[in-house]
This record gives sequence, structure tokens and C-alpha cells, in this order.
Amino acid sequence: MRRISEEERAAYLRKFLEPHGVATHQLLEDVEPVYGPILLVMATGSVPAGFGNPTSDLDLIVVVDCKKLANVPLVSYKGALRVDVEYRALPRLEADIERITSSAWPDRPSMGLTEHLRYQRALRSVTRFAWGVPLQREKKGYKVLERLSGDWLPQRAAASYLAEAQRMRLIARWLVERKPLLAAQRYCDALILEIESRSAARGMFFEGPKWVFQKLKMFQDTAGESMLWEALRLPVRASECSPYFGRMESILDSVISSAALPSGLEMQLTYLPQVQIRQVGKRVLVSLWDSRAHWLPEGVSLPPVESELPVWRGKMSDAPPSHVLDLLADGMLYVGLAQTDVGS
Amino acid sequence: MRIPDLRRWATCQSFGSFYFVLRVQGDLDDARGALQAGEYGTLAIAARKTIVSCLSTRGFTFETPERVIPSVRSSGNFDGFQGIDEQSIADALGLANLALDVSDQGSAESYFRRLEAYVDETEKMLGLEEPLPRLRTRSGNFGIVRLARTWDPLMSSLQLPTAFPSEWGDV
Repeated sequence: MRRISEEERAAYLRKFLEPHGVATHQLLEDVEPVYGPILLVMATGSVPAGFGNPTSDLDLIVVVDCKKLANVPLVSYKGALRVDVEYRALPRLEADIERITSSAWPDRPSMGLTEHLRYQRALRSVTRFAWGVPLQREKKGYKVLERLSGDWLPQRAAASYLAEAQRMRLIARWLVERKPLLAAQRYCDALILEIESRSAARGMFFEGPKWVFQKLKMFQDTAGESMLWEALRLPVRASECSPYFGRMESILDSVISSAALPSGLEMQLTYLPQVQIRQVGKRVLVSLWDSRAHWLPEGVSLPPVESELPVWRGKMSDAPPSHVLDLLADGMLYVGLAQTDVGS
Repeated sequence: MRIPDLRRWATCQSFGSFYFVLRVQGDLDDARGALQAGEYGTLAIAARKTIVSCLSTRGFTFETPERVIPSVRSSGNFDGFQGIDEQSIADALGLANLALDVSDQGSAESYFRRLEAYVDETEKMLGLEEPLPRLRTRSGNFGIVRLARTWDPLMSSLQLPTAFPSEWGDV
């Protein structure tokens, strides 16, 4: 595993700032202790990751010693250089680190949309933070940085991206008949996520699906590049999708080993927000935003929305019944992954 | 101007505007950056994303009655193609695939101009009275707050959700 050092990241930052005539220390001019004492200022985003280009913004994360902050991005300019400044409360960052430290996603026997989004947000926050260049640090802030060193974070990110790749692949499979063009997009996304996982396992855990070609080049992974070019040539009509599905299954089989996925994974389909279920006579009507709706087949029932129970659950190799796939294809269900080998 | 269905019209105008400003503009900027850096693989990825975002925006024009406000985009089964006719999708995805044939700076620049034209056409399809703010400019953040202040009272009075990103808080 090769994790790019802080010195290398700082060099990428200086190289990016040079044409703008901005020195690293000048970035601190727009940071003020308005929300409380500043513990840490990190330059982060694609620039210190080495992917910055002429239109890139520079991201600054300012960790503040306060309890809670609204997440409002602030923008400043140094000539043509745009700097996005985000102030973050220390307890929030520590909570994110704690979540990612304690387990890989999915880590609970029941994981709906909210938990998924929480974990993904925490992972993104921590990986972006860990990939930064410290511009200013106090003792308390330094301790936060120390927690992010070592190989655990790249491995944790790799496992999470791989689980997400498998989730996308299953969504693709389940959409093949009902939404073939959408299924093709999800197959392509599954490979991009697998490349994210592969890159993280090699030390490049900065999240950024748009940079996957550069990540592959970084590791001289020409086989990966060929696969990605093939995956990106997406079918443009539903009637052309079938050969693409076959090729993508074969590519994904070659890169996602079932042995690499943790045991105990389970798929759980739950209602998305704004779905309603109504009994109309003897039949059941499922609607989204009281606009689009489906009749369920006679004799079929679903758990009430307020119960928060999965509409369907099954192993990776199982497929939901037809009426559930209809709801899934119409954007009414969330496809979640859960880990049944852990206690609640 | 007569509006036959106010709730749907307001949803289309509001969500279409925010979707364009928050997604399409950013995706096109990524494509521009990849072009300037001579990274053609990254250009292909950004072009695909731009075009899929444009199709999602076009789904919010009043002429596409099938579109419903997405509960959550990240669910993986959000269908940005919904309600758009087969030929328009084929043309759009065909344009995305042309990015895979870019081989030098000349062909990259010529491709980018086509992509930009597609994005401009998408904005016009929303049928707004004035051009949308450009988020990544000095006044861009104010522009988006203005947009929220324009649409949110109407959406709220119709008991429809805001299209403004919830993580940014109230404005």
C-alpha cells in the first residue's frame, strides 16, 4: 500500500497555487475565529490529492472548538482562485471518525436510508479530512489528525466502496427488465465504485468517482483502464442493452470476488420518503407524493409505512418478487445493505 | 399565460432550476477542467455525468408529465430518464459516447462545444424568464439564495417541498 505523504500533498497544493500567485499561508487570511477558537485548518479536496486542474476550487475545512454549527459553505476569492471554506464543529468531526473507526459499512442488522446516508457522509467527511494538508493546528486539533494515520482508514474505505459497488450491481440486475437504460448506468457505476475500492486498498482512498481514470493511471492499471473504457460505452436504446449487461456481468465477476465481501450481508428494501399505502376496497394502493401509484396484486400486502420494517429482505443471490420490483423500478423503495452477523 | 396545473408547474420550475444550477453547472465545469488539463478519460466521465444531469433536468420541464419529485437521488433507482422520449434519450447518450472517441486537444475542444450547446439548450427548455445564476461565480451563492427566496414561498403555500439543499439550512 502506498499512501501519499503529507509532504507530497503539500507539494501538489503549492504547485496548484503557484499560477494564482498565492502562497499557502495566504489561505489563512480568509479564516476567522467567528464561531469559536480554531483548532485546525486543512486544505483538502482534489488539489492535495493531486487531481487539481485549472478549474478546480480549493476546499478549506476549519475545525472549531464549539458544540454545533450549521453546514453553510462560505466562498472567498483570491484573484481567479475560488476557495470554499467549511467550518466544522469538533464534536461532529469526532463523531464521524468514531463511526468510521468502529466498523465498515454496512455495520448494523437493519440499515435503512437514513443510516446509509449517515455512514456515507461520515466516510466522505473523514476521508476528505485525512487527505488534507494542515495549514494551522493546535494541540487539540493535532490529536484528531493522529487518529487518522495508519492503514485502517484506506482498508475501511475500500471495504465500504466495494459493498456499495455490489449494491449498485444488484440494483442494476433488478432493473434489467423494467428499466434497461437505467440498469446499464448502474452497471457502469458499479465498476466505477469497484475501482474506487481497488484504489483505496492501494492507498488512494480520497473519494472521487470522477477521478477514477487518474487513479488507475497512478497505479499503472492498464487492465482497469480498458475495462472502464468498455463500461463507459453505454447502450443508447433499450433494445441494445442485453449484450452490454452480459459484458458488465463478466467484467464485474472478474473484479468483485464474493470472498472479498463480508459474510452476513443482506439486502433490505424499505420505503422511500413520501410513499403512502392505502386500502381501497379489497385492494392496496401504493403511491409516491400522491402522484404516481401502483395497485398491488390481489391478496398481496406490505408492511405499514410507519412500521419501518423492510418490504423485502434476502441474500445477495435472491431476487425480490415481481410486485416489489415494480415499486423499486418506480423509485418508491430504497435498496439497502445490512449486516446480519452483528447484534443490533 | 394560462397554467393548467399550478402544482406541477411550480415543481418543474423550482426543481428544474435548482437541479440545473446545483448539478448540471458543476458537471459541465468538471468537463471544462478535464478539457483544459488534457485528461480525456476524465472528460468522458464528466460528459456522461453532465448529460445524465441534463436529462434529469429536462424531465422537470412541463412537457414531461411522468416526472415526480425524487425522494432521494442517492437511492440508486432514481430514474432521470423518466418521461423523456426514446429518441431524445438516444441522442443524449449518443453524445455522451462521442466523448469516448476524443483523442487530441482539437477533438476535445470541438466535443466540449457540442456539450456546452446541449447544456445551454437544456436551460432554455426550462422556459424561465431570466437566465439562472452561475453558482461558481463571485455572486453565485447569492444567486442561489435569491432563487430559493423566489420559489420557496410558492412551494410552501402549495404544500410542496423545497428544492433547496436541506444541508444548507434555512434561508
